[in-house]
Amino acid sequence: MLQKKLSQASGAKVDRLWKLIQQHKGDRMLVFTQDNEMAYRIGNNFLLPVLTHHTKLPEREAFLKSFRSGEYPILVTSKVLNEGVDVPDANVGMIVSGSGSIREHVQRLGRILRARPGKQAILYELVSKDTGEYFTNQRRRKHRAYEGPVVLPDESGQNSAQIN
Amino acid sequence: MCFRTNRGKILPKLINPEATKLLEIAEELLVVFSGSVGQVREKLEEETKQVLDGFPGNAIVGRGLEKLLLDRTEFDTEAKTELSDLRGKVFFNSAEIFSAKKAFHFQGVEMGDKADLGHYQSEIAKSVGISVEQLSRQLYGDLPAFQQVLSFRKMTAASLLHRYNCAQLQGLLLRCEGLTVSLPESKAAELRQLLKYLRFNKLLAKISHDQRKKKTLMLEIDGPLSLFVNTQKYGLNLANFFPAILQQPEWELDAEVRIRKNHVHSLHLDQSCGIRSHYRQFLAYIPDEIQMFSHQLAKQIPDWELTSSADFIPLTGESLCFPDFLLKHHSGKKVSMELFHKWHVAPLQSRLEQLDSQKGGPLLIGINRSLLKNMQLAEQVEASTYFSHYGFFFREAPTITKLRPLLDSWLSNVQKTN
Repeated sequence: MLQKKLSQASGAKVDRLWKLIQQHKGDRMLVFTQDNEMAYRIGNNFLLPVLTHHTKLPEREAFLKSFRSGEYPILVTSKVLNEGVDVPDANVGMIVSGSGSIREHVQRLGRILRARPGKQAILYELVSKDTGEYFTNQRRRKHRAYEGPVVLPDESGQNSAQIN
Repeated sequence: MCFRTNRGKILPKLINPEATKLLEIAEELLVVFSGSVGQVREKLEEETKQVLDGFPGNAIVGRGLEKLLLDRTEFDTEAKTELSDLRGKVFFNSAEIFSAKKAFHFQGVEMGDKADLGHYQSEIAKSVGISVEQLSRQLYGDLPAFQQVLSFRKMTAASLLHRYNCAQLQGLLLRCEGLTVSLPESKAAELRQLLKYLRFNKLLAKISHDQRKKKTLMLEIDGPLSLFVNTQKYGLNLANFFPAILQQPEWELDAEVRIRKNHVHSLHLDQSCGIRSHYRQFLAYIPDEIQMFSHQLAKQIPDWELTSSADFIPLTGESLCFPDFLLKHHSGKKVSMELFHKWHVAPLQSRLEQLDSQKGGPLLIGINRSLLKNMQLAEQVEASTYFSHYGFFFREAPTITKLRPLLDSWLSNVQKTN
């Protein structure tokens, strides 16, 4: 249990996340974590809005509204946004940690795959080297959501963009 | 919940409230909780964990004791608007940096470098006028882990262990379809107090003489699983009623409980289970809402006084009625009042049948309007002659406006009869 927790919340992941956040400046990013502790660690460290079940309703609505409008480019969440909440403008997903569930993973993928003309979306998964996370990641990749390029039409409806 | 089952019977796994090791652990937990006022929840949980690491046997028992103590702890859960405002400002400023609108480069620092993060944090902290350390402490300082303990209601180690056993049985009652409590008629004072408690919890029982044992009363109470609405609220009321049974010197309880794949199992308990009730002020207890209603009545209709009912009233048929209240007029006339809440469909049906064949008006009845959603019952209420003379509707609680004309009419009828 402790081993799993260490692999999910390693300092190296946080460092890597910081680089990726800067690399995607200007994009709309959703950062997913397995638990609230990690979500708030990221939120506190990078001074970002965090959405969990602890977030009071007015703030929750304000965060989602600001993210949808583009006022907030990044939103960190644990499991609140796994399903049921529509955030069509998100185009970068960063999975810092998650359960082994394929369903959860595909739902997270679905948050950034909301179709929009000309949209290109990227999903990152941060995996701690030589840990159980690596094998979980390999198993999930066998799901059909990862098979072959997913093509979305561009604004003219002609060209295509690939989901990496 | 800890229990075993054997041939359809539930055997609760109760702890021994006199076991030295358990008493020691309970005492240690109480010391931690008593000294927690002013601390944050995270610190309290850490210290509790240290105590529970040395818990003998089943860890679930330890967590159960912790839960009971947390229920007695008041945390500062008020939303901190200043922290919400601070977050608004911080996220607006961080968004400015991360969106493409503003360049994000600190001289002499490579992009993605850790030092870069330090510069970023300083810039944001400066923009809201506090230090980086203060910002880190305050940004999510209102999370449950950082909630401050405001107060803790103390108790003794033995009471905590008894409370644990009581909670085990209360948990089972939340899953029950119905229960029967048998009590000796000879203990009249205790019995009346128990029935008052039944009414305080908005529960109704079919009260009758036990055919199997002489001078014994039998209370048949619906279980939450026999209802279609408000099962959770009803279940909690029933669970709250259970410690009042424990106060009785002699009692027997039989319940049908749905557990383990929803199968019905039977639970039998009596006073030999040895659990001490935690209702210390049992005899003096009056719920707030009743006190409020009583004050309103005294203020608006001073000719009448409201007390909680103290006796059975004779009605036709075999079952007995123990109403909620007794209203006393200054002339000495008295009338009882019984209230039917949203989950009392069956008891109301049977009471209306009983009262419609009754002469005179021995009882005023108040009906929660939500009961009228049941069409069959609504028709019965509409057709009831008794209700048209001696009944009224209420939403959450009875109001003086509704009660006043009814009392006037009842009094005038009684005076005419005399």
